[in-house]
Amino acid sequence: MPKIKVPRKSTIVDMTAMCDVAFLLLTFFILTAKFRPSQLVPIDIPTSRAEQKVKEDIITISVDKAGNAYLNMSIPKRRIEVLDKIIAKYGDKYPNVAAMTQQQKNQFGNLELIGVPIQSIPQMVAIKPEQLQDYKFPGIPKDSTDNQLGEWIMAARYAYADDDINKLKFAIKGDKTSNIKAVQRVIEVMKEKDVYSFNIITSLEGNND
Amino acid sequence: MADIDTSQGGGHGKKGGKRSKKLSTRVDLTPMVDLAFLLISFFMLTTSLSKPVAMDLAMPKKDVKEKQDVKESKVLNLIADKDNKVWYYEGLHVAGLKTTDYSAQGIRQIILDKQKKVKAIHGDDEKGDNQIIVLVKLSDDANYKNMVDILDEIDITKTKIYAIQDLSDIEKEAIANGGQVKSFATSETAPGK
Repeated sequence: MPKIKVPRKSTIVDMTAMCDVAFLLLTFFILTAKFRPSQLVPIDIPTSRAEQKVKEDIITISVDKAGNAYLNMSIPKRRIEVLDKIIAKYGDKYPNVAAMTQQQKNQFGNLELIGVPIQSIPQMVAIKPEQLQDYKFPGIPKDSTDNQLGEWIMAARYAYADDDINKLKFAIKGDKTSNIKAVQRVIEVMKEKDVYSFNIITSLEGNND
Repeated sequence: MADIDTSQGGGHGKKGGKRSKKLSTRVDLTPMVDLAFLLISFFMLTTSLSKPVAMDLAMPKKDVKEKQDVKESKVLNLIADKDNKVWYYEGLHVAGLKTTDYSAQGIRQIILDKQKKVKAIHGDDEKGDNQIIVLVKLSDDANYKNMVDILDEIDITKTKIYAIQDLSDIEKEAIANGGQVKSFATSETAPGK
């Protein structure tokens, strides 16, 4: 007897291709997530419910756990401008900084953050980037006897005044656990230099608490 | 691709009587795809959440000559202390400090309660905002997170008038005594003021 053959078709779809795509995307996201600017000085910022975005051109004063202050300009070009103003204004105090070559200044512009006293900047520029990870930053002096943070703020004001003073915006980025006195000292220095309005950088808080 | 050909060659079947069972080595990849996409969504969500945001803070000018008198009934004082403790009292006279915490039921509720009281007495101002005045004071043992938390609560409760001030001696004494002021001096008549 002749058999009627019904062709059986499998309903199983080959998942291999889909799996490939999924893992490709996964790899991509993991890599991009990890490659945000690595923090030379770890700062665990507090959370808040503020929703304002951080401006692109901003000068951040960071305060770490130990209460040391660091400075960072978000745009490398600004760093060089501000450094030039430091030399113009306070060059006599720091002859080794005033003697920096243009190449050294460009290297300085590529540094992520300024975490050393002004007189140590030439040495800091000379440090190789891979060694920078283990480097212990002493922070920018901010006491009244050697108020270099104030000098930086002043220099920043002069540098932005050449362009547009309204673009100048300061932000404070403090560690959750840093003592309030260090932060208050930074605010005090800013007030001394007529900076009364600034941002506080926080991370977005979930609704769970 | 993923499966290996397990079928024995063409001529083998006829010689031996036994037939080996064909086992498929095909693996079902569906759960693996599920997992991969789960991880993708996790990483996408966490990266977008860690973006920093900014909060505005304005400090008063240092050399302000004119001083405004404030109605005592509008004032709420918050003092951040160590171990995530907040002391608070109403008015300008340091008396009967109470403690609370940074939760939504704690400090936020206190600000909201005070706002209700202020509204009952003074009503809203011309812009429709509450007229409460919050004075934030930070003790030396407080940490930066406490300051941000208080400023955040002020922002959440839509408090328009607030200031960060230094602790007075009488407040320091009150905190050291667990909220009680032992000397009869009030903040205005405290020595050295």
